[in-house]
Amino acid sequence: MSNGKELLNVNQLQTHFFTENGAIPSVNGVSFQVNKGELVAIVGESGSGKSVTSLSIMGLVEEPGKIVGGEIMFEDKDLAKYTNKQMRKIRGNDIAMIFQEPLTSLNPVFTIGNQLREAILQHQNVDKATAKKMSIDMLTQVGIPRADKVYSSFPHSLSGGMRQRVMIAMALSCNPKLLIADEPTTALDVTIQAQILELMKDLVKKMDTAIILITHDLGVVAELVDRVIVMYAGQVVEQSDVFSLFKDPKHPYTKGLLDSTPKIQDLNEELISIKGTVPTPANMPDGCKFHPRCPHAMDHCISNEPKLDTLENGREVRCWLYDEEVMADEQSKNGNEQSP
Amino acid sequence: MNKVKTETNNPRKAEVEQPLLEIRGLKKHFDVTGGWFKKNKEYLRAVDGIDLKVKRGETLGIVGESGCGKSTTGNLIVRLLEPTEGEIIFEGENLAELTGEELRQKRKDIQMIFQDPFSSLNPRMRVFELIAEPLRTHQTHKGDELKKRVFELMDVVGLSPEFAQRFPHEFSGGQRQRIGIARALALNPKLLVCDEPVSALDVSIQSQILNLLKRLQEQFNLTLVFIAHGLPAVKHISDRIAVMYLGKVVELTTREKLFAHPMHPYTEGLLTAVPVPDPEVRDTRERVVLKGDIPSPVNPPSGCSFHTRCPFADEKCKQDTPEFKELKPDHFVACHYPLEGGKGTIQNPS
Amino acid sequence: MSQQVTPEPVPEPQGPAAPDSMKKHQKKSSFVRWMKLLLKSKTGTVGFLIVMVVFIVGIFSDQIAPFGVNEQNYANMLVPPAWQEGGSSEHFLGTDNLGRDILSRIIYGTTISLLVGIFSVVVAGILGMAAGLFAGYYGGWIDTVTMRMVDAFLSIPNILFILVILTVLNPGIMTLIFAIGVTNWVIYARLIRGEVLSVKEREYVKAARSIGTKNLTIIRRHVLPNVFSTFIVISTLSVATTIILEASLSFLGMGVQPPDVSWGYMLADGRDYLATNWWLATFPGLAITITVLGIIFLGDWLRDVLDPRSQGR
Ligand SMILES: Nc1ncnc2c1ncn2[C@@H]1O[C@H](COP(=O)(O)OP(=O)(O)OP(=O)(O)O)[C@@H](O)[C@H]1O
Ligand SMILES: Nc1ncnc2c1ncn2[C@@H]1O[C@H](COP(=O)(O)OP(=O)(O)OP(=O)(O)O)[C@@H](O)[C@H]1O
Ligand SMILES: [Mg+2]
Ligand SMILES: [Mg+2]
Repeated sequence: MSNGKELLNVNQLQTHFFTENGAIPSVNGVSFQVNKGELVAIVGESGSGKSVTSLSIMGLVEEPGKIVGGEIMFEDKDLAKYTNKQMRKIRGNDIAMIFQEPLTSLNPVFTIGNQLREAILQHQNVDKATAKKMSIDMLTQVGIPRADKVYSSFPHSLSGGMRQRVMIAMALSCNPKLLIADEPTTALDVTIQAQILELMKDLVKKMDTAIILITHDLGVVAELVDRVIVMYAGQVVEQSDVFSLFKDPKHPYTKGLLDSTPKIQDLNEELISIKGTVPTPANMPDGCKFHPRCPHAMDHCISNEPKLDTLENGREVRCWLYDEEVMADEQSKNGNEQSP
Repeated sequence: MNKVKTETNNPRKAEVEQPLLEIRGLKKHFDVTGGWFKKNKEYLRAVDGIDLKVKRGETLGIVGESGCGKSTTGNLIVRLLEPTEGEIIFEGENLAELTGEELRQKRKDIQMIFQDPFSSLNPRMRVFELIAEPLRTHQTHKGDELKKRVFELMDVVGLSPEFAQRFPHEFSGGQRQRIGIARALALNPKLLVCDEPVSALDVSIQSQILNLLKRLQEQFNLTLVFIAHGLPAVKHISDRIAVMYLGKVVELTTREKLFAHPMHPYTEGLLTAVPVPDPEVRDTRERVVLKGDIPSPVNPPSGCSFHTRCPFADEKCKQDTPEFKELKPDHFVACHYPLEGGKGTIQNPS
Repeated sequence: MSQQVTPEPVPEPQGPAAPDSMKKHQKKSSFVRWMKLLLKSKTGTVGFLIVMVVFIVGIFSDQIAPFGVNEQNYANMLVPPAWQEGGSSEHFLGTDNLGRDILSRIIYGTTISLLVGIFSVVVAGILGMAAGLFAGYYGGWIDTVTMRMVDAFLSIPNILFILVILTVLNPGIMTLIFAIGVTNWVIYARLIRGEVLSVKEREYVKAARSIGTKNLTIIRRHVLPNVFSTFIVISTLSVATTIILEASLSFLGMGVQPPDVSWGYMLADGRDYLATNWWLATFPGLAITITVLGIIFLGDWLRDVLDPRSQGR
């Protein structure tokens, strides 16, 4: 698979939470790759394991969670085996992360400038004056007006959108090779979200940073990324380039998600929804995790778990509908039932 | 996947009659003076003079960004808040003047569905008790009849009867929202105020709830005020849409007109800011990225409150507050320089 | 979820027969249900046993105690406990400076300590709960007046306040309960009010208002149950401080009057002998500690059980 362009290769990652009520497999065999300078989105509904996947890559999974299997190859180093101390060198330098809640990710008792400068000083070999200049530069780049003034103000005096810009500035200040953005715009208003997305698009072009964008909004995905990974119940169910995915979704879940995403252009009144609810760890179904909600579920799906199959154009899907043997079997069964 | 087909031409819309609800000059100012010894009181103008009419049987959508006063408006309509100024006329009666027992009786007709399905249900009550509460409060049903009614309501919102003795924490967000809807429907209200009923839910569940609300509206001939953050959520359900900015309604018209020909620059910005789930158009589609942040409602800008972010603002906008008036039939706008041709009139400022 | 058994009969659903899971909710003796819940928690069980034993001892003290309360034995003054050198098996926990049997006195003291501890908490709790609920829920002048009163009470050391009441009225058990109750209500009022303020802002209270529920009903059905766990925590801790408060009052001669005896009284009485004859003060102290622990364990368990989220575990 390695073709020189590959930056990150997550292979069969398993992260479990060991709670009083037993182990919860929040991330259950997730595999995907990210190339240099590529924009990849991980989409899925609440609880599908998006955040835990990204925290695993950063080595930030907290007790009682633990990576119990798989590897996270980042430029030929397996981060899954790294100690906390080794990870600290990677974080901020090679991989940076932006969190959903811009309010709580900044320390309220230090000025914006102070926090930004510290981040630069920690990772780059420059003196204080240069670090300050770099910080103000960075703030200007993320579109903050009067950057030198904002430099010496405290987080509470900034709006949510401004704080998120500061977080992006901080994350990008050390030229990371990979930026993980966990729902960076979910807490923001649409008009502010549009500003931030525009900004991220520009920065990526300029800096050649690869981005993993975590979101549940397919609109944001369509606006920004090259490739999409769809997660459901701790697993990857589909992986595809963004154009094919929106034109021809393969997995019934992806189809359902696309159909139920509100589209502003067409005013027709038909709303399509996926029946049932997202399973919780306590009531995880056997077989295919999506079968209780799937309109195409077959007998085979109830007790057999599908594998991630590769289709044409490097697309991948985890669904029995694309397994020829199973489909042939299923068809002959149906045929027999109908004939008499 | 369920498809729910709904009638496009609704006979009820044709009826011309007195509106069910009319709001005139409604204001709500919160006292936010910090400290005891400040001489000059500071007020946060959450709702700052709005006029709306809601016709019988229609759905009025209210959209706007965080903090623009949507929930405050909703709470004022159901009288959870006291208005600072203005009238709320429901079936010819001014709700703003009602108190005590009269108000309590009126509450039967106006019900609310809340945003957060996790905090709007008392965690110590079982589903049955939750749904029975409004019936008991107004003593409309007793004994077996009460039980019958509760199970009927559960059936209407799609909750199976075996859930009756469970607690709210045993349910997912979508199911809890169904409980909330059943409660709101219990007293056969005429008006239902929905404050962002789906924004806390997963994408795949949102459309289930929207479909349910739409079906119930037709089944029980309800009038809906549907509050939402963004336009996509109100699009399917609303007949008319009001766009709010900093405590004021800036544009109000039918859904079709609003989407085809928005006349306020803010509406245009709001429309194009919504990401389109189609990667093919991402490099070609027209986009108006509004600059700057939403100003504080404590010190709203002078003149037109949108002028700080408006690509067309000039001196006039800074000084004169534009009037909210009917520029075209059924199309109300508060702007000095309304967009005539709709989309595309604004050049991308970036 | 198998523990979801309701004490009240479940309404039959209309139409199709009740599904299987309805059967879980069938009526069952609520005593059996509570005992089952109790046995699930180790600390709960321990607490329950301690409290049961203390109550039984308190009620049947006359029958259980080997000696009378004030039965003096001048031949056997300051006898150490049975397992110590010079101890006698007759006086298992030893005797005091007047030759009274310590074990018997502790058994007799149980009654009064419990009476004072529990009833003054009940008095303070009811007063404070009511004040906190109304002040917090209604706000405005009711709140202002109540909270100024609370401040006034808090600014005077409560022992002083109690002493004044006890001097004006005749010292005795009833006065003691009354005095401690009316001074301690402020603790409840303040904490409950704070809790009510936060519960009041929750959306389900708003939801109830929008339905047209009356204020008193909202307080009873929505606010009270959700501040009750705070109440239990304060009460259980309060039983402990009350028993100790009663001890200091007895020490000052304003609490329990001889010939009655309480643990606090014994504790105060034995303090002078702590260096030489440790058992005089230690055993009543131990009785207080164990009882308080038992009550706290039980309260903790009760709080958990009353939380619907813990059911079915
Ligand atoms: N600290 C924890 N202890 C136990 N379980 C946890 C913990 N953190 C996460 N989980 C579980 O891991 C699963 C995946 O969580 P995760 O946060 O990755 O979801 P997500 O896809 O990011 O959802 P969202 O869109 O809500 O952010 C969930 O079922 C959650 O309950
Ligand atoms: N009780 C209150 N006291 C003071 N200010 C308030 C109060 N309630 C609301 N506000 C303020 O009034 C403004 C409007 O609030 P409102 O909740 O109506 O906004 P909204 O449009 O519903 O926003 P969101 O989309 O975030 O729910 C906000 O600035 C808010 O901070
Ligand atoms: Mg997450
Ligand atoms: Mg709101």
